[in-house]
Amino acid sequence: MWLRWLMVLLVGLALQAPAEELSAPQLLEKMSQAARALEYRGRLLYLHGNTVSTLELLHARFDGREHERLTQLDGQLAEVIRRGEQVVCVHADRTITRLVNRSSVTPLGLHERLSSSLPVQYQLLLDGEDRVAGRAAHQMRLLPLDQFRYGYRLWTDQESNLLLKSELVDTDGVVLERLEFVSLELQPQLTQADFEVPATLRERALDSLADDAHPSGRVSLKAGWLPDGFIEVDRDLRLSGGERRPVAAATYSDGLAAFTLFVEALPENAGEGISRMGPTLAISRHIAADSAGWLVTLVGEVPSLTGERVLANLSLGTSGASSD
Amino acid sequence: MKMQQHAAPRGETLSALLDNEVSELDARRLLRDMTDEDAEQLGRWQLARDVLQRHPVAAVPADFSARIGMALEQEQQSRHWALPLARLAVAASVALATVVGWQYWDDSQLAGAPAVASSQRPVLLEGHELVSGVIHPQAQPAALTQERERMEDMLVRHSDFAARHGSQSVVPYARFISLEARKEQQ
Repeated sequence: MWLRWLMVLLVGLALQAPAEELSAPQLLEKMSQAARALEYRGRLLYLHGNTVSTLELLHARFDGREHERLTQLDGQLAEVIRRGEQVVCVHADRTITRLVNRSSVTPLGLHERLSSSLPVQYQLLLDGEDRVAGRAAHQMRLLPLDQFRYGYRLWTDQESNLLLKSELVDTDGVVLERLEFVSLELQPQLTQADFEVPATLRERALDSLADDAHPSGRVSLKAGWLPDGFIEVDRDLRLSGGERRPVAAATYSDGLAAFTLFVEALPENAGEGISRMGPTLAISRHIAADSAGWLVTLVGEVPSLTGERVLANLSLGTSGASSD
Repeated sequence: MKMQQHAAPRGETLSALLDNEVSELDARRLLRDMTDEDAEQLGRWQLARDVLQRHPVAAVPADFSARIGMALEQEQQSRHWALPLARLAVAASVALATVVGWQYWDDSQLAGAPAVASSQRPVLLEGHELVSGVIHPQAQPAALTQERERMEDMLVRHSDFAARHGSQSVVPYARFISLEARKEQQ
């Protein structure tokens, strides 16, 4: 981290760039740091298709741990509360799902990746200036260089470097979703009480299991084809659904986009097919391995072409524990 | 482009549908009244267009209109689609299915790869749109609830992964919350 800062500083000095003129990669780096480090509260609009949601976002740090709370303001109450590594999803029916992340895998998020280098599968362009939520913003575009991923348009706050607006754009230039602040307050003096989990009716546990606790966890995924730049970034095995079936998951990311492959023993009457939830694609396929049937479901923000191709070239093995 | 069902010649109407230039209600009406002949025509045009634009080739299957008819019929019976908004979403996505659905790609590199499954019968959930396949006609409410909870768990887990490894932490959570809040109350 130290070294990186030093290098950024040296490169900046070498180019003798004026302090005001930040490059697009520098803006992105500052954006990802601001989102984690600052304390802020704001109202957001989330749009996809013909639906609009109004949301409230709180973000603060206590004892060095990030706290975040995103709450739906219209319709039924639903929210996500994140306290350090603990994530709680409050569902519309007042049930909650708790996720405690095993910290075995170092997060390779945008924060880490963008500060080193942008994935080569994207081109970053600075689009000038704009206004969002009454604030002056820098506008950027992240263009995908192939048809297997979506692009982004980003607006960052000139004062705080926070991300003010974000759009996901498909290969034809159609905006699939948009999240934007309509109001933003910096340093709102939040306390830990602002991040308390509400009383609920029932907990839906998504218990984590050791990978070898069930055959689903021992299934190795052999991806015969992945879009360039996508690597496996995380995996786990959890008891899922009302029946508490073991479902294994592996997530692949190119640093910006991500999709997750879920593997479970073939349930009775399991469907196959494609559906879409806003920008999120879900495809289910039956795949046979070692005389057992498995249901593989891909969930992610990638074009259907990508999802179909990944699944068509996916094979499962149950003997080894390793994966590609 | 807005259009009237009976004012425009059949071919022009189908062409507008292929170009995504019809309103959701028109698309819905068109698809309901579509004959097998229309579907074949649509398939040929789309094939021609895909080849011209070097898109992966998508094919409209032979029993296309029967599948659409079944999907719409099922949708009308299903209590899960009681909300007008949800109905529109289905209509819009059915139109989408004619344009992007049934994506088989013609790629010689993929020779030997398993073909896209022939019996596609996804279960539709709130907030989902039908992209391809038909609704499972025998799906029971209990099975739907199970399927929904299974899918929700996947969404939660994917959102969590995406928030930690993807581009922005807030966006995946916003997706999940927005979908949750629009669920029909049980």
